[in-house]
Amino acid sequence: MNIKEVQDLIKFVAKSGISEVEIEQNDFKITIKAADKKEEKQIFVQAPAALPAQAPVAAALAPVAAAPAVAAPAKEDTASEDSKYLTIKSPMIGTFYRSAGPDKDAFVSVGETIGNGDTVCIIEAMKLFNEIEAEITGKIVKVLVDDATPVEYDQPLFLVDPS
Amino acid sequence: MEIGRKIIHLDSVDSTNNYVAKLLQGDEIDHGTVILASEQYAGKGQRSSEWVVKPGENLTFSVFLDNVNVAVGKQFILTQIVSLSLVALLKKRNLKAEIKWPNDIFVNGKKIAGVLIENQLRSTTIQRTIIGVGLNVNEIDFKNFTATSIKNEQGAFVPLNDVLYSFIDLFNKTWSTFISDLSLLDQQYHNNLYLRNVSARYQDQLGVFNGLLLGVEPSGKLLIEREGVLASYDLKEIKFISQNAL
Repeated sequence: MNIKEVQDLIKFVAKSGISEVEIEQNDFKITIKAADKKEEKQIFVQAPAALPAQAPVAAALAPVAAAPAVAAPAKEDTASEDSKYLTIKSPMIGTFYRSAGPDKDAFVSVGETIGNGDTVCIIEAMKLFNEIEAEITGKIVKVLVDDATPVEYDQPLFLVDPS
Repeated sequence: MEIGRKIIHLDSVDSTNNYVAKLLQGDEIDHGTVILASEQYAGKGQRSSEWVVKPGENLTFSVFLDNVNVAVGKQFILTQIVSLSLVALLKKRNLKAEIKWPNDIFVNGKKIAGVLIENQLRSTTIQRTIIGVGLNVNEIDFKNFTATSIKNEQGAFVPLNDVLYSFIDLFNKTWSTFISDLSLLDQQYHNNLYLRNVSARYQDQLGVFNGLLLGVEPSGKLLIEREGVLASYDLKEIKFISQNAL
């Protein structure tokens, strides 16, 4: 980083609402702090916790009914064998991907044991890629959807044996 | 949701989004950290299509957001906020920037920036987000691509740092302005939408047609009037023809 770049950084910190910036580059590290900045001016209006309730438009898209991706007993109409299994469902409409990329290994395969928090697949919609985590522990019995195919909201993706 | 307190500048990396993901696995990254790379040798375009950038010419970076807490049904607001931040950045430089649905930025009908967003969900809520941005700054040779850069439009070299700081500043402003007013966010997104209310050529599964792009649904699907009928399209169901863009 040259002097000009350091000056630019100082200017940026001075002008923007950010109180402190740290830059790392190779072995070089610099931290610029704004002295006593009007922190209050930068109150964030985010209130993220309240967010889901706020947008009425989205309500129709994300039905509040049965939380998806949550373990639910497999449907009655499947073979009785299946009733002891749980399903991982899609939390959204999109395209189902079993791996992080075309040349990458699948996140999970049949016979593998998964734990709470493990990434099991990606669902993509409008170029937003969403990693879906398991919220149950068990062994993958069946992958119910083909790679790179569309899925609906709440559609079962994996059959899991929790025992 | 302030970003930019920490900027890590790498000489070379496969993709800045991947780098964030790796840091995340080791819990080694804080909210708002920006990862900037002079060279990205396997940058992520849309799954598999790679964004290739000559070292040092353009801006390629990722931003990590923690505790995003956006319901997955509203994920498109992330695209909208990043797109509008980029439009604001370019407009500040007097470039006529528009949002080419769903997540590219165009200037004079040519692509100048692309966005790729990766989320980690917890149940139906987006917990963490990695925003990847590729912005053409000083590149002037685009070969066969219909693309442009700030320098290509304006002639002068632009320091990458200036552009990055400008993005950080405008992202912070855009987020805090719109997160409490999503209808205003949607309105602004529509006001800056490329080809909106302009008759243009498109192709869907039925063939090529003249359509009128009316807007985008909250889900992010594109609304086009096709021979008097309103149709909504997913990314893979529609192609922009006249601009040879998708």
